[in-house]
Amino acid sequence: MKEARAKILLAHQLGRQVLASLTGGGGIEPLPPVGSARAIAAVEDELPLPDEVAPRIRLARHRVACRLCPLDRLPELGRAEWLMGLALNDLLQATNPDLVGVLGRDRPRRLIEMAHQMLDAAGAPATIGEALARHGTFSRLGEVRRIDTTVSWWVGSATFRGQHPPARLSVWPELRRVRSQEEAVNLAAMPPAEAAWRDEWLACLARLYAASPLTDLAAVTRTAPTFQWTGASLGLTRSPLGRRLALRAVERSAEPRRAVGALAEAARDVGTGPARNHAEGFAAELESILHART
Amino acid sequence: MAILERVAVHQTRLRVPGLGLDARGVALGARGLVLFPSLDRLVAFLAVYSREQSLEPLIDSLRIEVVRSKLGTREVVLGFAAGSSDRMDRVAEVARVAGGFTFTGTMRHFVQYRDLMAPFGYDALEITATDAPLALYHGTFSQVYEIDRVVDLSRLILGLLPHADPDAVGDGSRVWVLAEPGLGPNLVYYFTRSQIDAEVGIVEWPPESSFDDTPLRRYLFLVHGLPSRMRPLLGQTPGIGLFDPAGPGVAVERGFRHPVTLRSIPIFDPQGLVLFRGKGPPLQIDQLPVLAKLTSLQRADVLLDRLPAGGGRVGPQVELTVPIRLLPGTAPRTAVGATFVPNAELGLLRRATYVLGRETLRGTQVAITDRGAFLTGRQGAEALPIGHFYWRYHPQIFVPSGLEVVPNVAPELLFSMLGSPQDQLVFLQSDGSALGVARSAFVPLDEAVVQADKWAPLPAAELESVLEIETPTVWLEPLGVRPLGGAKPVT
Repeated sequence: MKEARAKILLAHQLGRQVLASLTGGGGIEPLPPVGSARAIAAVEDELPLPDEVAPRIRLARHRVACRLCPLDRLPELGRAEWLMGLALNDLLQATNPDLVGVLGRDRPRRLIEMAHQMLDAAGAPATIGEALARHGTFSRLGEVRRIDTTVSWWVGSATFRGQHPPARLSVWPELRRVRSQEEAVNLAAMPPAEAAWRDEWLACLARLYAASPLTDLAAVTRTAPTFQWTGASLGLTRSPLGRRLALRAVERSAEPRRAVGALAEAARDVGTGPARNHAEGFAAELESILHART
Repeated sequence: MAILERVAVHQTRLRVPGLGLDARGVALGARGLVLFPSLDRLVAFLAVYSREQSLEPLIDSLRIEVVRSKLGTREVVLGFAAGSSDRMDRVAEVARVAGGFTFTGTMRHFVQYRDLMAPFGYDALEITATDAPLALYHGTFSQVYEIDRVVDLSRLILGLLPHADPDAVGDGSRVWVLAEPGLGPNLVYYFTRSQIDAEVGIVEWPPESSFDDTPLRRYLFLVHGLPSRMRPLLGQTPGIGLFDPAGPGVAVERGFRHPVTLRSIPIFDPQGLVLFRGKGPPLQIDQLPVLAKLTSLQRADVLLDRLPAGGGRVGPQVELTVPIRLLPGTAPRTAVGATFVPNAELGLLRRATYVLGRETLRGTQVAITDRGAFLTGRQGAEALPIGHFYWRYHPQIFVPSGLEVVPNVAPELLFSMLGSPQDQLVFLQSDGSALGVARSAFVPLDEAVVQADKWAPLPAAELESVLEIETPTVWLEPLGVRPLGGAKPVT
């Protein structure tokens, strides 16, 4: 009974603090690190969204799905989407400067490994409907940003990553010559450049993208982590309906022209054989569609 | 031994005091009187009489008394002003059906009223010497009575329980709905959402016992044109009562019929209301409460979305708000309230003006914006077969033809959500956005056609989009002493 209540509480917190803002916009306030053991145990049962944000999340997901195909309703959040949401939460917390502390240099790496375990458990979408549902939830993944604030004063400066600077730094602004500068940092740039675990973090983010192949294809022009064809995206585009949805997702993305080049470049990494032919064919079909439009 | 004798033609002298002959020669006193063996016979009389005609002419002089004979038997007497023999004939006829005897007289002595045996009435052979207040002379008996008590007609009517009658269903044009306090606000919302024309007030009665410290309170709705689909729900929900008006100031619960035709008995105050319930005593409202239009009471929680940012912390209800959307509707919309002609089709509009009649040109208003021309008219914009059609959702809101607004909120509510722009006509777009065009920008089409300067483009003010979405932004909180305390890997 106590465990069931803890699972529902976790789902409510994730829905309220992460998923509602991820789908509908606003402030994402990640939960304290969840860990793969708790996450995988939690999704054994069907998890509910909190009532106050459930309609907003449903509407936002439905709106995204409707851009790709006419759909009356989208299924509720499934087990894989909860796991992906929890993995995103832990990935964001891995960039939290408070996580490292004095003796915890390996903590981000441990958290990233746990996020990998969650994404392993989520797996690739089994149906086109599931791929569409995942895209409804994570389509705005690339828009997630963090506000970093740099405060400088007459004898020093400090940078606050995703945190509000304490008020004491802003007192006597004229006397202490306080200057404050805010910078929006996109998702891929959230880990510090000097961090040893940065590449592992980006690899895990790439896996998160890959777990939602429509989102992965729609964000094909992203700079980091670069798009790579995966089993999930190849499998989705193998079926006629999935291919049509994927073409629509790319065609309606922000930069469809650049997407052709990114897809062709990614196809070169596939290797040889039917998979490469398939990846190149997809890029060629997209190019012909865009050409016909003009 | 005969007690009465028949009055003969042209007879001029009668023995019973106060008895005279009217213009037709019928023996008639100032008052009429009907003797019933019991109260239920009196009720039967009232039921039959009120069904045929109104009691209004009798009501001022009507008096009901329980009388006691020398033998101790109690009977009921209904007294009234005789008026004329015509009125007495009608009363006598109904009294015979109800098992009563009709008499006429003036003060104390009353003699049997005429029947077929005596077309001019009866006179008593001998007057009984008595101080009793009532002496009745009938063909079969002669009796004196003492007044036992007076029965108030209002209390008698209020004391009658309605009979169950499934066929007793009003026409629904006006229905009173009485609801428990817990159901009142929901009914207000339900009626508003369904666009029912209704008014609502709150009625109070003193506590039923001294153990109750609050008055008895109910929501009272006056519904105009209750749809038949709502009747089963309202009629079968515990805590809600439906009452059909049965006359000025009185209503009877649906599914029940009062024994007496209440409309014929004008004893109810039109300023008040008496609700006859099928089970239980009637509810009396001495003075009707102030009835407010539902549109002024509808729930306004969605308006919280419009609160300014500095107005304090917004409660969780705000999260329940949903954006307004337009979806294909099934209801046929034939009336075109406005037309939008895009810039690309303005040439077609110019050519079309050559074939339009003078009334259409004069009655059509046009506003030119940088997106195209918006046309409205006193009789809609149906005369123009071009452009995109809109139907009028609210006097100032137009919706594309074939689409419906969801959620199905009241037009006034949507207008409020849009900020109640009094000087704007709002055109909802199929993509969820809304365009506002100033009313002052609309000019008659004929003026716009012949005066080129009126075609100067007016900027269309884009109203605040309800679908505006923020960017997801991460804010990290301190993680405490053991940041990975709750996070364990799968082993």
